[in-house]
Amino acid sequence: MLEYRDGNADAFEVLYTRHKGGLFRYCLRHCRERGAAEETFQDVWIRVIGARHRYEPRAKFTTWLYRIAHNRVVDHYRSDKSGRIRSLDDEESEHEPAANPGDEPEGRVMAQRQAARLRELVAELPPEQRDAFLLHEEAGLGLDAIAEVSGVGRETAKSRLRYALSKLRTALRDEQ
Amino acid sequence: MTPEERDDELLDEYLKGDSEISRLYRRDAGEQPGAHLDARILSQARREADRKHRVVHSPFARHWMVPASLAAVMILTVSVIVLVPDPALDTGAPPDTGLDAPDAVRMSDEKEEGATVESMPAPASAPAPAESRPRREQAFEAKDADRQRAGEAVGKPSEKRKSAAERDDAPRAESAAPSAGAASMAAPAALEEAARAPEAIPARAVQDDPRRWLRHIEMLVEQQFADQAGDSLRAFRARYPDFPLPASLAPLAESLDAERR
Repeated sequence: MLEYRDGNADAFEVLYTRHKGGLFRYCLRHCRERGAAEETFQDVWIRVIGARHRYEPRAKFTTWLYRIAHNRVVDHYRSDKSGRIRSLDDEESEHEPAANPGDEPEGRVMAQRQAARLRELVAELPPEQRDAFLLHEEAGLGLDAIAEVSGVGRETAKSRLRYALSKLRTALRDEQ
Repeated sequence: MTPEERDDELLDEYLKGDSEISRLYRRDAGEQPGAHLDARILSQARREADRKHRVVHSPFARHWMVPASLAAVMILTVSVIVLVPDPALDTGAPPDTGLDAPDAVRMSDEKEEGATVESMPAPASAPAPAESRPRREQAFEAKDADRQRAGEAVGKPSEKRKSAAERDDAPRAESAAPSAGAASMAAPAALEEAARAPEAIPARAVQDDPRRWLRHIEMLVEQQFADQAGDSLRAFRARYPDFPLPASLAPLAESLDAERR
């Protein structure tokens, strides 16, 4: 990123290639629709490009990138008019039950493989728990970095991740 | 083991990266952005890098561009104030004075103050134009008229002498500007002071140049400040005992010698 900040466009391509898959899936799992995910994904990178002069290597680039993405996803949740998506920064939503599986066509859910079912379950997690889970799975972040990206304390991040894992394990076990 | 401890243990295993949940999640999870999105973002990044890179070549340049620009503007401004002669006082003297370059630059200042170049023991190749004095006086009169219009010192009987003293000391204040940073700001105050009473001993910058000092004495004589001229010449001879005096100051020197005897 420092090289790109100093004008090396090839350095950006290396970064982009390394992070585009994980970041796109992070956006897709949050936005659920490919169109919205692509819009969010593109906006994150445009923000990265625009903010590169402010980039300081105090934290890993991954943490910085996902911090921008997290903020953009929060904007996405706030702007969602349908009410289908709860706010990511709403603490009260943390312990609410997962979204109703009936939102998805039942026959399709039953036909999916176990892995696909897991992704569905991730999508049904409360946004904060989903965010913590995705930050670990897609960005490879540890608890401290997840807390930094989310703007919360380490214990809060740990709690979110623990709840997410517990729900996923329970749901998978019940379906087997 | 409590359920919470069990959850913590499972969380630690999960964070190590080799859990069943992780393997399951990553299976077939290969969604990627479309090629059109890649192209759009990469071209945007390249365009921004090219644009910014043309303007700012390095972090060093980026950090120092503004301070360096300000410093350059200040140096240019001070140089213009100190070095550019006042066109109202242009005597029309020929540029070739037979002096080396630094002296020639100083001479351009000296022409402003109406220096009696023709009376200096200068090389023969530096003749003063016959009409330089009338033109100089015209310039002085024009400057006096401006000052009167500005309402400064109207109706005072010694106006002409004061104006001459101002003209004599103005270059002195300006010549001190490079060594004393705020001298150019103090120039109006110096002019006011000089307008009240001309000083026999000129500014240090003039003292350091015997030719300028002699012209200062000549100006005092010319403006009939005999006492100041005598004091100044006395001080001059104490500092430059062997420097040849111009013919115009010979009578004053003889009178000082006679006093001493």
